[in-house]
Amino acid sequence: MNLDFLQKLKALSWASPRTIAMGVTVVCSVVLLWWSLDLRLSLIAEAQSEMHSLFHLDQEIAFLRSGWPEADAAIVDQRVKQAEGRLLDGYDHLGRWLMKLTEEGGALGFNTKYRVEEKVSGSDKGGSGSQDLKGVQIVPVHLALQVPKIPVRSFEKYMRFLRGLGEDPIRVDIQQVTISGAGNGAQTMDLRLHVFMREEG
Amino acid sequence: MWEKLLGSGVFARGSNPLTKTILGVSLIYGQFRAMAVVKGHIAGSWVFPGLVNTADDLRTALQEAIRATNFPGQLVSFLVEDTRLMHNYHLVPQMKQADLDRFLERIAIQEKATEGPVVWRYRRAHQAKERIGLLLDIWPQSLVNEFITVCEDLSLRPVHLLPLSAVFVDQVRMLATSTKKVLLLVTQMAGKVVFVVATGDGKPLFDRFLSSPKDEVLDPERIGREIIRSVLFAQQQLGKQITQVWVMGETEELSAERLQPYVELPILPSPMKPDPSYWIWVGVMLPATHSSNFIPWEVRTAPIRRVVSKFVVGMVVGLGCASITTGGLIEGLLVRERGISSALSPETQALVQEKRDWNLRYQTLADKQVWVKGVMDEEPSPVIGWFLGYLPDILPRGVTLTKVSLAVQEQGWGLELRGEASKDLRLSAKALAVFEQRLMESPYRVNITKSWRDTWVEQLRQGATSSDDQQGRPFLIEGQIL
Repeated sequence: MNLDFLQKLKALSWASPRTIAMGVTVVCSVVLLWWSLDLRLSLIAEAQSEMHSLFHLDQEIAFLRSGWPEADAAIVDQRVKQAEGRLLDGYDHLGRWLMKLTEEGGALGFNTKYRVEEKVSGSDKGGSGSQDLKGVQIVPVHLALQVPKIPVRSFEKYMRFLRGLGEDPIRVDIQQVTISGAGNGAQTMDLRLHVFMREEG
Repeated sequence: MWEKLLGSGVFARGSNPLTKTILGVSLIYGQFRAMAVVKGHIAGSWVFPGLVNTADDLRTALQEAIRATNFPGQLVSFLVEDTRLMHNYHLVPQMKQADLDRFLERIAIQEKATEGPVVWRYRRAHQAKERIGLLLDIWPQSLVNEFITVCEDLSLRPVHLLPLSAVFVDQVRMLATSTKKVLLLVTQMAGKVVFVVATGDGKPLFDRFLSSPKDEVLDPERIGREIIRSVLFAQQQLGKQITQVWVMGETEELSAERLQPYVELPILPSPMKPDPSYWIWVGVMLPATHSSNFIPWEVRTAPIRRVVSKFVVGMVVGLGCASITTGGLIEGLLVRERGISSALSPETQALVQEKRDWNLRYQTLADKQVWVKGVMDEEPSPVIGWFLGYLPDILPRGVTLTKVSLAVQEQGWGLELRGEASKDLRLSAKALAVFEQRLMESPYRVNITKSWRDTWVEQLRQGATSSDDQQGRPFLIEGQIL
């Protein structure tokens, strides 16, 4: 008797090789779909995004090129040169600048002494401004001016010295002034200065 | 007459007689009879002229029957009685289903009428005295396989493969006036006298078959004795009182009139006059889930399972194809995109570098602007020089400064003024008050933090006198220029 029909019916049960094959096919298909749609598709999106960003990059560069302030840049460069002229070039320049002050003080009849203190970086210059000044160091200088003999109208001379200091091409910030001595015959003037110097090295 | 009951719903248990298209077949001791039912109506009957004893005979008979009745459908229902089939009534103790299955398996093997494996089905009968009544049918496996295989060969879908005993009990439902009454139905089929005891709702208590010797007729007295035995058995074993005896399909020998003298209970003739086609009809109308149906569940559900299977296979194949196609398309796209990307890569790098250069240029310009502003524009105002120049102008007569100190602070400038005033207390106080007032006025508006008065009060605390040997009266003023 031909019982193929019954055999086929049994083959429809869940644990049959056919069911297992179908299960494997489903799993493989789902994995392939996931791999394609999740991993590979994202690579395509990435490549397309690169293309898109390339287009935008071109536009951005054109925008930057057209927006470059040529005139402003020239003015800034000119001002940079001017600003650089207000800085001491180094300690050698500082020494010469102090000698000049001493001579100016001597011309007014003062004994001038100076003391250079520990320098401060321009990017951490504290009370001398709020902006970051890269490449600039601030040198604190203590100047002591004294009248050697009986002072006569010395206060006016101190004022003249201070005015000269204010007109100096080098950037000097007066931090403290102390004038001692009775009235117009003041005997000493102590000055604490911040002198701007180009950073060495 | 029984055809009139077709639409009454009496037979409509688990099936719809108005819509069913099925070929009903009875095979009683080799006699093949077919009845085609199309949409609930009998379309035709046909009887095989010879005896059907083998699978080939069955195949031939079915082919002939389909042709003769012009049967258009696929469903087929078999009602079978044969010497190889066993039907017994058993009273067994209560037990779990698994134990009952093992027990019946053993009974089936013990009681089988043929060699080879057997299959069995059972119906639960009335339960009494903690025992279960079971109507057990035992068939050879090969016989069941023959029916299924022949149907498969002829593209028929077998719905029923029922023993003859399965159809009798339903007749009680038609005869009973109350569902609680217990009835005894006596009928004749294929040379056997059948005794079925059941409740009015069609639940069987037990059945018995009385075969007549070959070519002999059972006399009414014998049948009457069997009726009395059945009544007593129901009473003793099951505690049920049979109240009515019905005779279905009266013949000359088997009639209520001839049996009544031997039985005390009233014997009533059934209004139904069954013929062989009637039992086919009853079988057709039984539900496919009937517990005596020998068609396995796998065979009955094979068509729908095939459809589902084909659908699932189609879905799986579709899914596989879709995933491969999708994967291929995406890979193709990826290769194309990568090709374009690699072709544009040098250009991209050049553009990126150019943008970086431009950004650097802008940043450098911004840094320079900040730097220039820091060196050139943020120079503190020369307040110290101005104030020192202004100070002699506001100094009152009689007040001499001995120390002037100005220092840059977080906010503004700190001021310290030391000096001497006239020895005359009144004059010096007046002059210092004027001096302090002038300091507080424009343009510098000095915020006095320590007045000359404080210094004097301090001196008084320390015991200063007017006769102290000094030229003037010292003072100290502290303040802040904002």
